[in-house]
Amino acid sequence: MVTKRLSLSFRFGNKGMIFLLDSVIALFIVFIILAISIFFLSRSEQSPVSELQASRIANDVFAILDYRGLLGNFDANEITSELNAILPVGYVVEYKIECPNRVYDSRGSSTFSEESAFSGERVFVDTKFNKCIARYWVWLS
Amino acid sequence: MAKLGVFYTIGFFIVILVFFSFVVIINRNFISTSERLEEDLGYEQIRNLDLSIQKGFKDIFTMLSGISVSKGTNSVTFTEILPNPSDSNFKSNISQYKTFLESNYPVIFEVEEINGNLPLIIQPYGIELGHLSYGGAEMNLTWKQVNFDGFVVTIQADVVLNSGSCDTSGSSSSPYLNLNAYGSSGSCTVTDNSHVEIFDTQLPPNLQVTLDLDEASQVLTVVASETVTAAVSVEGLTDMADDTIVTLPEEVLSYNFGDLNFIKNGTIRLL
Repeated sequence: MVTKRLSLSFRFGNKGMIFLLDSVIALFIVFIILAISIFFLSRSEQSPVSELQASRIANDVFAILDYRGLLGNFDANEITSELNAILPVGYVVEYKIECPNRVYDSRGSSTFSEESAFSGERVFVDTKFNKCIARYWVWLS
Repeated sequence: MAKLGVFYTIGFFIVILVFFSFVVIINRNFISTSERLEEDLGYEQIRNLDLSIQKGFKDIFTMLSGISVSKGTNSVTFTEILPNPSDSNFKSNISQYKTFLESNYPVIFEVEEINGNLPLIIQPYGIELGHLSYGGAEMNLTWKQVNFDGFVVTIQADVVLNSGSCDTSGSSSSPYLNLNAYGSSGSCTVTDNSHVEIFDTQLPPNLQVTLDLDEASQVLTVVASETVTAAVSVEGLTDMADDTIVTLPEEVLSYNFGDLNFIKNGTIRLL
């Protein structure tokens, strides 16, 4: 065995070590390129299109509430019922109504990540001509 | 053999390079798309805010202005009590709305003209309903070109009328002017055959309603000395699809969202 290894060494020198180093360096470069590629591609999959869609859904839903007079003639139960009827499946919404004479916050003590939710707001005038703001947060459950 | 290894290396390198180029292109495209969508998101927010501000104004206008605006098959009608008793409440609410908007959003709401003569414009015809002074006894309609057929004015007053109560003088070729006047009892009507220029209801001295159609100055004036309900209908508007709208004057709302580098001047659509 020792004789054979020596004879191989005489014949090919230390090329095995060079080949090993070459392979390691090549693999290292390949892995770096793959890692960078995977990083870029995974970022591309976080599509902001869904954020835009959530934004439009939220704005449309609260416009419907406004046009149906549910924001101006405020009743939390009616709003919840209407939201359940018109909000697309899979979306969750919380909202806050701020008028000069009252504030209602549907979030209560519940917590959610505002970073993962789309937020919007609209101005409206209630039945007593108070000028109010409805703020809302929508996200995919 | 050795040369074959070099070709393998170069070939493999080229494949990796092509792959990496695709990744870079996809990533650049993603960044560009993200930027556009971020802008879209911002514009969507501004649009939503703008529409809600318009809706808020429209609610105040509908409930408090004492003016109603409606659209028929080929007409737009403005109905108002003259002199308008609702003006002070409306003006006060509009001023509050202005303060509310300007303190919460980067928007300037010009209310001077609204509280002054409250002009309402039929677009795209450019026909404008205005007042000598909103709340007063005079309303007027002005136009730049005769792109409609004429006016029908309906007066409702708490007086006794008869068929001779509507007196006319002068004539107008175009546009025409019709009058229907209804009292607590009796009525009088003048139709368009003569293209009458001036109607002067022969009412008791304390209640005169004068309609003056001035072709040269392109203005129709309705003046009532005592309380009447006047409905002025602009007839023969042929493009009555969704294109015909009633708005406030241009640039009553000015938005300036500095962070989005976005400046917008707009109006408020009422119908």
